[in-house]
Amino acid sequence: MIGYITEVALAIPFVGGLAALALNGRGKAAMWASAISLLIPLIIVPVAVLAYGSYYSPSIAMPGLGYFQLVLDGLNWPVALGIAVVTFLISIYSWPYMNVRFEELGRKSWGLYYFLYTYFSAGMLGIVLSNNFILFYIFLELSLITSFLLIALYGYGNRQRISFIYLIWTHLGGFMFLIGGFIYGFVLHTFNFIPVPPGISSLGYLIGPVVLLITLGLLIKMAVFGVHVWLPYAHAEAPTPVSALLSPAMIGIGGYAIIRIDYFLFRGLLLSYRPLLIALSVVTIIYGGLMALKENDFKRLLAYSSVAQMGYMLMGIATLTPLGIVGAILQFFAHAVGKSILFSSSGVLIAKNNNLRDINKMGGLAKSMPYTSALALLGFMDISGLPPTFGFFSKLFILIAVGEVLVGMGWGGIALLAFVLIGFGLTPAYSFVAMKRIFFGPQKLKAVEGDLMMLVPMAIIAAIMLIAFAFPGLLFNPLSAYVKQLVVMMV
Amino acid sequence: MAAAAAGLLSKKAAPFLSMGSIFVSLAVSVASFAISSMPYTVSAPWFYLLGSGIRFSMLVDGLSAVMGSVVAFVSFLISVYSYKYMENDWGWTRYWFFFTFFVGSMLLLVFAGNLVVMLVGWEGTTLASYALIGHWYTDEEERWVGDPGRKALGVQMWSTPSQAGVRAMVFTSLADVGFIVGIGMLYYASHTLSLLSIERNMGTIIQVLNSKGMLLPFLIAFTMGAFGKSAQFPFHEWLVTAMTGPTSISALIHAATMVNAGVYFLLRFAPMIIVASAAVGAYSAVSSFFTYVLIIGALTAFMMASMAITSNELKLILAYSTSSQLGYMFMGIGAAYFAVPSIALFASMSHLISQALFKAAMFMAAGVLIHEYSSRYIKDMKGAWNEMKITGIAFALAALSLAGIPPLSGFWDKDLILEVTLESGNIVAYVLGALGAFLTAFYIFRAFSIVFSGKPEKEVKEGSPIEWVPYLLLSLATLLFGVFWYYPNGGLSSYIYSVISTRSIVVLPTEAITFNPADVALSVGISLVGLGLALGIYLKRRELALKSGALIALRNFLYDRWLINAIYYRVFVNGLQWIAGGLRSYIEFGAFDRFYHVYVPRAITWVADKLRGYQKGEISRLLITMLFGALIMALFVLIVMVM
Repeated sequence: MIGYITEVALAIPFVGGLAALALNGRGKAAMWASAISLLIPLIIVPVAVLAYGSYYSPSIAMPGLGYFQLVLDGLNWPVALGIAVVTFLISIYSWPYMNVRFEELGRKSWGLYYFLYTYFSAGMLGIVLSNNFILFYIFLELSLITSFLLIALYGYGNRQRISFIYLIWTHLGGFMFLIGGFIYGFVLHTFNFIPVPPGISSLGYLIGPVVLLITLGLLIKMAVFGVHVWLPYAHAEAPTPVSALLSPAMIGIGGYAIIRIDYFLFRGLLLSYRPLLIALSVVTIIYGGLMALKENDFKRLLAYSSVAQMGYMLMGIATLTPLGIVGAILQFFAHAVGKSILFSSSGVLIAKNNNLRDINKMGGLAKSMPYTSALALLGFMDISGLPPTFGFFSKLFILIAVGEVLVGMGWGGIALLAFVLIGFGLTPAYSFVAMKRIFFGPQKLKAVEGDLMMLVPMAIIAAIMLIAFAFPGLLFNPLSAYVKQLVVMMV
Repeated sequence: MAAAAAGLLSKKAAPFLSMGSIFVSLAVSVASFAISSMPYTVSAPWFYLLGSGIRFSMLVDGLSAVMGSVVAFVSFLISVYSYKYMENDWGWTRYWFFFTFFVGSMLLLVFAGNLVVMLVGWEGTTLASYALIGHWYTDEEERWVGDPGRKALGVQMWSTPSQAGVRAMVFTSLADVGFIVGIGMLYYASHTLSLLSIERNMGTIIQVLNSKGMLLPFLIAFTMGAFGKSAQFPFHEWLVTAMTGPTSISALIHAATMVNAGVYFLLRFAPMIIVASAAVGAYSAVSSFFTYVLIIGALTAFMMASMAITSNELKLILAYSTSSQLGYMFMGIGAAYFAVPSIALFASMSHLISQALFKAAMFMAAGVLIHEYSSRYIKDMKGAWNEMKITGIAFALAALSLAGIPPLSGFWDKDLILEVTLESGNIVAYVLGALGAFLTAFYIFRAFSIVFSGKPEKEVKEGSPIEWVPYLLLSLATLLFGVFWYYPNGGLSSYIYSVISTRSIVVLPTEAITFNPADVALSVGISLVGLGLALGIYLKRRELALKSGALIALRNFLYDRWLINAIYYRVFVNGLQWIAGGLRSYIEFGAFDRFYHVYVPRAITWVADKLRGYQKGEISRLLITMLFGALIMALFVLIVMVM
C-alpha cells in the first residue's frame, strides 16, 4: 500500500463521490461520504511529505505518451495542501448553505451536488499531482466539466449564460494548453514534464509556439488582465461553496502550472520576456484592486480581489528568481485559505440573510455577527499580508523578489517601485474599506449569524492559516529545498 | 518579552494577564542591562529559505534594551490606567487582547534579530492600531474626531472610528510596501536578513547599490515604512484621526508603541549607514538621504505645531504635538551624518524617552478630563484646576517638559537636537525647528490655560487613584529625568549615551556632550516667549478676535490641516475612484465585456450564418470553397518546406 499512497489519496474521493451519488436521498450521509473521502488526501498529503520529502508513485508506462505518475514534491506540496484543506472543510460548509439554496431552487439533489463537488475537488488535486501533459489535461477537463455543471445547476443570476461563458473561456485556455502540449509531446516523444525530458533542446524553433500556447492557456485560467472577464461572472454567480473552491484554488493552479512547466523547463526563454510579464502582473494587480474598490456586490468584490491576488502570484513568477517562485507558491496557499474564508463569510450573508450581497445595504454587522466578522477580518488580513496570517510570508517574499530584480532595472526599477506601491497599497485599501462598509459603523440591519456547521469549518481554515504562520517551516523547507536544488541544476 | 495573546480568556482575568505579562516584559527588559556581553542574541530555528536558515532571533543590545525598557514601562502604566478608564466598556476583552498584542508586537520589533522577525512585529503593530483606533466601531458621534459637518475643499474633515482605523491601516501599510521592497534591494546586495550580518555588510550594500545607481531609491524605500509609522510628512494624516480610539490607546500609540517604531528603526540603521559610508567613501546619495530626513523632520515639526495652535480638541492638540515631536527626533537623526553622529543620535533617543514620558502623562490626564467634562473640546472645559489639582500638576509638568523649559527633560534633548542641527549647517531646518519650538510652547500653554483656568461651570472631580497615579508618576519621571539628565561630568544622560553608543551593534566614538550657552539662551527664550504669550492671552480666557480676512484665512488653513487631507482626498482617493469608475464603465463593461461576450459571439453567429450557405449544395459556392481550401493547404505546405 505504501507504494500507492498518492494513488489512494486521489482514488478515495472518486469512490466517495460515487457513494455520495448513491446516498442521494439522505443529504447528510452524502455530505459525510464526500467530506470523509476528502479528509483522506488531507491526511495523506502531509504524512507523505513528512515521511518521504518528495514522493513519486510507481509510474505507468503509456506507449507514445511517456508515463503517468503522481508526484508530490516540495514544489506542489503547498498547493496540494491548500486544495486538500479547502475542499475538505468547504464540503462540510456546503451542507447548511446548499440546504438553503435547494429550498430556493425547489428541488433537493444532494447526491448529484456532492458527486460533482467531490469529483471537482479530486480533479484539482489530480492536476496538481500530474507529471504529464495528457494526465494533466484529463484532470483539468474533469474539474472544468464538474465546476461548469455546479454553476449551471445551482448558480445564481443568469446561470445558464454565465456557466456557458465559464465553459467556453476555460476550454479556450485548456485547448491552447493542450495544443502546446501536443507539439511538445510529438517532438519529444514524451508528454512528461516531470522529470524534465533530456532532449528538451530538440524542440528547436518550436519552443516559441509551445511556450506561447501553454502560457497563454494558463494565463487565461489564471484570469490575468485582459482575459479576466469571465472570472467575476463565474465566481460571483457560482453557489458560494463552489466560489470558495473556484476562486482561490482553481485559478491558482494556472500559476502553479506556469511555474512547473514554464519556469523549470523554459526559464531561459522567459528571461527575455521578464519586463513584459512584470508589466502584466502590475497591471493585473492595479486593475483588479481598482475594480474591487469600486464594486458594491460582495462576491464580485472578492472575485476582483482574486484577479489582483493572481497578479501577486504572477508577479512572483515574473521575477523569475528562486525567491519569487517560493513567494508565488506560498501565495497559492495563502490565497487558498484566506479567500475561501472570505467567500464563506459572504456565503453566511447570502444563506442566512436573504441573499444579502449588496454592500450598500450592509453596515455595522459586526454587532450581530461577531464570529463571521472576526473570520472575515482574518481573511482580509491574509490577502493584505498582515501577520499573524500566512499571507504575511507570501507578500513578503514576492516583494523581496521584486526588490531584488528592481535594482538592475534603472529608471524602470523606480517606476516599478511606484507601481508596486500603488498596487500593493490597494489591497489593504479595498479590504479594509469593505470591512468597514460591511461590518462596522452604525448597525443598518439586524443580521443572522451563521450556523455552527458554517462557522466551525471556517474557523478551522483560519486556524490552519495561523498555524502555518507560526510554523512556516512546514511549507517553506521542502519548497525551498526543491527550488534551490532545481536552480542549481539549471545553472 | 513574549507578551502574547492573553486576552480572550475570561472577563476578569484578561486585564491581569495583560498587565502581568507586560510587567514581566518590563522586568526582562530592565534586567537585560545586566547582560555584560551585549550585543547578545538568542535564536531558535524557524524555517529555511533557499538553503539559508532564517532563525527566530532576538537581539539585545544597548539600543534595544533602552528602547524595550521605555516601551514596557510606559505600557505597563497605561495598562494599569486602562483598568479603570475602560471600565464597563462593551469591548472589554477585545480591548485587552489587542492591547497586549500591541505591546507584544512592539517589543518583538524592538528586540528582533532579523528583518523578518522585525517585520512581524512591525505589521503586528499596524494591525493592533487598526483594531484599537476602530475599537468603538459602531461610530457614535461622541467618538468622532474633528467638527462634524466641517468641510475643506468639499472634503469632510471629521472622522469616525471605523474610518480612522482604515486610514491608519492604509497609510502605514502603503509605506510598509516601500519598506519591504527596500529589504529586497538589500537582499540583492547582501543575501542576508540578519541585523548582525547586515551591519557587517553595510559597506558592500552601499557600494553595490551605488554602482547600480539605486542607492538613494533604496534608502528612501527602505525607510519609507519608518516615515509612515512615525507619521512624518507625507504620511502624517493617519495619526491625527487616530484620536477616535480610546484615550488610553492614544497614549499607547503616541508614547509607548507604534510611532516610536519608525524612530527606533532609523536609530537602528542610521549608525550602520554612517559608519559604513565613512569607510567606503562618502557618496552623494547618502548625504542627500540624511538631508532629506533632516528637512522632512523639520518640516513636520513646524507644520504640525502650527496646526496645533488653532485646534479646539484636547486630544487633537496632543496628536499634532506627537507628530511634531517625532519630527524633532527625525531632525536629530538627519543631522547625525553631518554633526557628531553619536551625540545627534543620542539626542533623538533621549527625546524619544522624554516624549514617551510626558506625552503618556498628558494623554492619560486628557482622558480623565474628557470623561469628567463629557466633551472633547477644550472650550467646554473650564476651571479644572480648582477641583483637579493632581491632574493639573501632572499636566503642567508634562507641558513644561514639552515646551522645553529647564530643567525638565524635554528641554535638554530638544535643545541638543537644535544644537546638532545648527552644527549640521542646515539653516532652513534650524529655523523651522526653532519656530516649531516657539509654537510648541504656545499651543500647549494655550490648551493648559483654557482647560485649567477660570471657574468650573459644572461639577467635576479627580479620577480614581488607579487613573491618576500612573500619570502623576510619569510626570514626576519627566521631572526627575530632567533634573538628573545633565551634569558636566555625568548624569543620566551620559549613562544612556554610553550604553546606546558603545554597547549597541554599531559602536560609535563618543564625545562629551556640551551646550553652547548662547544657543541655549536663544531656544529657552523662544520657548518662554511662546509660553508667556499663551498664558497672557488665554489665562484671562480672552479669545483672539481675528479681524482681518487674511488672518481668518490663515486660521482656517491651519485648522484644516494645511488642506493636505482635502488634497489627498481630492487627488488620490477621488482620483482613484474616478479612474476606477471610468475603467469600470468604459473598459471593464464597455470594452472587455462587450467585446468578448457580445461582439465575438455575434461575429461567430454571423460567420456561421454565412457558412451555412455553403452547406446547401450550390455548385458554384462549393467550387470557390474548394479552391480556397486548396490554396490555403498549398500555402501551408510551402511554409513548412521553407522552414
